[in-house]
Amino acid sequence: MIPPPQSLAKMESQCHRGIMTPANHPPAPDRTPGDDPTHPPANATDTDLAVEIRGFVKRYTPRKGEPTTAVDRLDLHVEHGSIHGLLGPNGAGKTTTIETLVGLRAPTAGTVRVLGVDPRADRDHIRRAVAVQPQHAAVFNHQTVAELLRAWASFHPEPDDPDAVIERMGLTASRDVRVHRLSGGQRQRLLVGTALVSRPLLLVLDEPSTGLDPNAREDLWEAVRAYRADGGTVLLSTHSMEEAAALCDRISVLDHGRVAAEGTAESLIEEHAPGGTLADVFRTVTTRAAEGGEEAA
Amino acid sequence: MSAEAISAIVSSTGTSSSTAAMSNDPHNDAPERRATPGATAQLLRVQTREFVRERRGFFTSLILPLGLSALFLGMAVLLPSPASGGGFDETVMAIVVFLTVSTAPLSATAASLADARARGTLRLLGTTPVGRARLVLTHVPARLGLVLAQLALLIGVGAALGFVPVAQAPAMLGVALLGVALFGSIGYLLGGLLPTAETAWNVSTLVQLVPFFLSGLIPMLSLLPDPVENTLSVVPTFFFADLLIGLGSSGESTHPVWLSVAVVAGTAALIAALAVRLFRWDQGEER
Repeated sequence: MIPPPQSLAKMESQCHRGIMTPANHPPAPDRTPGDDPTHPPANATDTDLAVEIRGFVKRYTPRKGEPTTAVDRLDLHVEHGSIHGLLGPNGAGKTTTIETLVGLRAPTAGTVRVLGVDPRADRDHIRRAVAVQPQHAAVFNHQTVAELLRAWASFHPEPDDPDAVIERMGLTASRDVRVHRLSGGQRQRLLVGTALVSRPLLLVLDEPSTGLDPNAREDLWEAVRAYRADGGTVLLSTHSMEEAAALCDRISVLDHGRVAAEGTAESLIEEHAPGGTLADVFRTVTTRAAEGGEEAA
Repeated sequence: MSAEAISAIVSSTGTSSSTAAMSNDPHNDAPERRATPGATAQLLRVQTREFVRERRGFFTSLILPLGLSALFLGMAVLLPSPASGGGFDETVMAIVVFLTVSTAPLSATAASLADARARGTLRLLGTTPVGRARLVLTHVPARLGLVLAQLALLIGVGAALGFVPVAQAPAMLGVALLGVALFGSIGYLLGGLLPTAETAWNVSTLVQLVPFFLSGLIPMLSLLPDPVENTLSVVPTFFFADLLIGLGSSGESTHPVWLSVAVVAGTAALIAALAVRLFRWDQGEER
């Protein structure tokens, strides 16, 4: 029997104090073999889900030209305390989905709930409980790394220690360097650091390892794993198979605005590319999605 | 606990009455998740450092008004004043103050905000508990400090040279602050809407110079046909220039002082309200 889910407030407090462990985190809902991995288990309650998206559609209507559909009836469920990957090629709808989750975009249709609330209706709560590292963003150019993280930490009531975040992100040697003098990879790590320093309930990362060398990427992965071990939830978008396989508990493969496949890395390989790799899964499901689209056309 | 109950708890954190109710909930020991008062001080330091360390914008805001003012004051000193009045010395302080209050508050403000939006800094801040009001309020002091220092220096020099009666110098500073409010609100409106720093510099330069030439500070206005001149004499920047001229050595203004103050202050308030309403965190923001 699954114990009653803890209140969001209590989970928030435990997460902040770093005492949220697998022992006291709400256990994952029961799954039985044969369950459809694209749907939450029958006995799951909404409180087991950090993110719940049903039938999400996002259409852009430019001033000139035809409307484009960036996301087309997407369903997504992210469980508390997990690292969930959005894997897909450029233009698959990953960034649009992430921006909608943090309230920067409004859905054209469908329902989006983050930590139980509508991110557009309750933007203030989302800003407090969710930290995002957007794909296209920059921080103040003329601050040093230390100055910037100290300021970012001050935006939140119980932030992490900025010096600890600097060390975790491998930026100790650059702490007194101004942002405009950092390399692309260093700036990317700093952006992730601004998200981590707030100790959010939900961490949303949009292609966080872009521009990182292998060592820096490992450091980043360790930081994300440590955050999850501390009780946080991560939604991570990437087009790196290696990153998805290394980090994610569950992966949703997106293509042309839809979830083409979802599951653990092992279950995806078993179902779509037996004996292969996640890259083979990616090629198989995206090719299938494209062919399906052509047939429909 | 049902999903609806949890949503209700999350939604209730924004209201004081619900906060009180929550404090009685034995399951609730979550900290109040708002941006801390320390955030204002930190953001103020960040914004001030950005302003000073961004060399192009800072030195333009610092040097340009002082350089132009030195030029005009020098001309006023060297050019003889007609015995019948109407000389350049009667309007030079109005010109100096107009240019000073329309540089840093307008161009440097608009360009810096537009640049922060174009690079994605505002979009990132928009995902944090820092609100628009806090962002703008911490953006103001550095620019205000610079323009106040410039005004104090220039009005002091003008009083020493006899271009403004010493007794009127404080009033001229007060009117200058009205101008800071007017051009500052225009700067925030432009910065909140324009897509890039370059566009903002160009548009704000236009917004600065066109009213300057058509405000009656230089004889150009009197060269225009009467209907045009009459129309331009009711533009808010004309009222501002008129206030400044009235405080100069001639002491003559076209409109009553109370009317000019009301028009300038009212225009600044209206534009400020528009700036708040239309401010965008990023280029593609949906309301």
